Amino acid sequence: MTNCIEIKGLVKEYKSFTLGPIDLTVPGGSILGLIGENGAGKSTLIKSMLGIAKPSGGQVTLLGTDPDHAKEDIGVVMDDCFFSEYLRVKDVNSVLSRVYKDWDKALFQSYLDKFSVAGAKSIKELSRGMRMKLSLAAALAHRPKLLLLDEATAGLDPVVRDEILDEFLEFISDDDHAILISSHITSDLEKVADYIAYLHQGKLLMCDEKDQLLESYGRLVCARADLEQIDRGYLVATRKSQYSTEALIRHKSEFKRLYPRLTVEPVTLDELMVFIVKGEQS
Amino acid sequence: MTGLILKDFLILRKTLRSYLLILVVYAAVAFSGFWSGSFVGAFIMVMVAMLPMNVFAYDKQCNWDVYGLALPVGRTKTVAARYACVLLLCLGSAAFSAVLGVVLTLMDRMEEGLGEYLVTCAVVLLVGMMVNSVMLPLLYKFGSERARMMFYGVIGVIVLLGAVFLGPLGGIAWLKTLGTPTMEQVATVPVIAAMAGLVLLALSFLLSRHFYGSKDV
Repeated sequence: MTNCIEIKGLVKEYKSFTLGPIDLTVPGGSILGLIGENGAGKSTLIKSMLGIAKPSGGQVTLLGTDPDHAKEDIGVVMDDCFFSEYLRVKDVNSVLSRVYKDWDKALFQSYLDKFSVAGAKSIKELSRGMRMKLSLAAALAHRPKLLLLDEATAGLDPVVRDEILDEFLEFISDDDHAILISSHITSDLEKVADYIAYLHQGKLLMCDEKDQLLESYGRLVCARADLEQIDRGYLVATRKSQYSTEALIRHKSEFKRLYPRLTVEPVTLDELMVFIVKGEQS
Repeated sequence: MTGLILKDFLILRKTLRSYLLILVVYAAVAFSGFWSGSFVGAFIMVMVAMLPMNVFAYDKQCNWDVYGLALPVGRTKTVAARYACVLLLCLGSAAFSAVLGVVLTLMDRMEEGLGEYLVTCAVVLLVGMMVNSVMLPLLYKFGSERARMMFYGVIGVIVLLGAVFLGPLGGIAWLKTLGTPTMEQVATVPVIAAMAGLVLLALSFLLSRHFYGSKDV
C-alpha cells in the first residue's frame, strides 16, 4: 500500500501563528480525520499542502509527487462553496471540464442526479447542503485519487452528512485512494476515519489509528482522593469541579487491570479534545 | 486556462447583458444624432474598463482564489487567464465601437469621418488597456477594495504630476506645434495604439504574476 500523503517537517509561519513542524503520513485506502479547535491550523495545513499558502519549510508529497503535479488527481472541498452565486450549476461543468484533463461531464451529472442538485438552478438558489453536494460532485467528477476536505460536512443536517460520509467510504474502497478530512463534527470522524490527527495551536499533538486511540485512552470518573492514589504516568489530563473529578488516562486496559475498583469509560474524540485543551495537564 | 476565462465571462454574463442593453440604447441615441458616435465608443470603453474590478470582487465574495489555486492550473496561468479575459473585453468593445461607426457611416449619421472615428476607437482602446494595466497589478497586490482606492490615488498622482510638470510648459498646447498629421500618419495610430496597449498589458502581467506568485491566499 503506497502513501497518498507524506508530509515531513512542514512549517508555515505567520506573524502571530506558526503551524508545525508537521510530520504526517496517510496510506492509500484510508481516511485521516484532522481534529482541533478553531484556529488550531487545520485549514492552514490543507492550504500549505496544496501550495495555496506557501510553506515556510518542509516537504509535502502528494500521490508520490509534488503538490503542483498532483493537482489533476486531487479533489478539494472546503467549508463553503467556492462557485460564484452568479454561476449556474451547469456552468461548473462547462468551466471545470476545461480545467481538468480527466473531467467526466456525464459523471458530474450523475453525481448531481444522485445528490438531487438541479443543473439549471443558479448557485444563489441552492441551500447550504446543496452547495456542499455540488462542491463534492465537482471534487469527484475528475476521478481524483486524493480528497482534501476542510470542514466539508459543517452545517449540514445529519441525513445529508450521512449520504456524504457513505460517498467517502465508497471512495476509499479503492486502495489507491485516500481522504484527509478536517472536521469539528467528531462523530462523523468516529464513523469513517481510520486515523485521527489532533492539531493544537499549530502543533500535531497526536496522530494514530482511530481505534487504537479510542482503545488506549479512557475517561476516569472518580473521587479526588482516588485520583491522588493513581500512578501519574497513566494520567494525561484532569478536570476537577465541585461535584466531580474526571481524568483522561492512557493505557486503558493496563490501568483497568491495576485499578479494577475504578470506573473507566470509553472516551470520545470530543472528550479527548476538551481534556487536552481545557484539562490540567498531568 | 480556457476554463478560467470562461468562468470570468460567465460571472460577468448578467452585467454584460445589462451593458449590451445600455449600449443598444446609446447606439440608438447616436443614430438619432443627439450624441456623436465617438462619445458612445468612449463610453463603451469606460464601462469595460471597470469590469475586471467586478470580477475580482465577485471572486472575493465566494473565496474563489483558494479554490482556484487548488486547481491544476498554476498561478501564472491563473493570472494569464484574467489578462486574456481583459484583452478580450477590450477588443470586443473596440470591435463593437468600430461596427457602430461603420453602421453610422453607412446610414450617413456620422458627424466625423469614419477614419477619424476609428482612430478615436483605437485611442480609446489604448486608454482601456492602460487603465487595466494599472488596475490589475493593484488588484492582485491589494485586493478589490483597497485597489479601487489605490487606483484613484494613482490617477490623482498622474494628474498632479501632469499639472506640475506640464503646467509651466503651457499644458498640452505644444501638441499644436506638431502640425496637422498626414493621412498615412493617422492610419498608423490604431496599430501603434494596439501595440502600445499590448506592451503595457504584457508589462502589467509580469508585475501581477510577481504579486500573485508570492501571495498567500
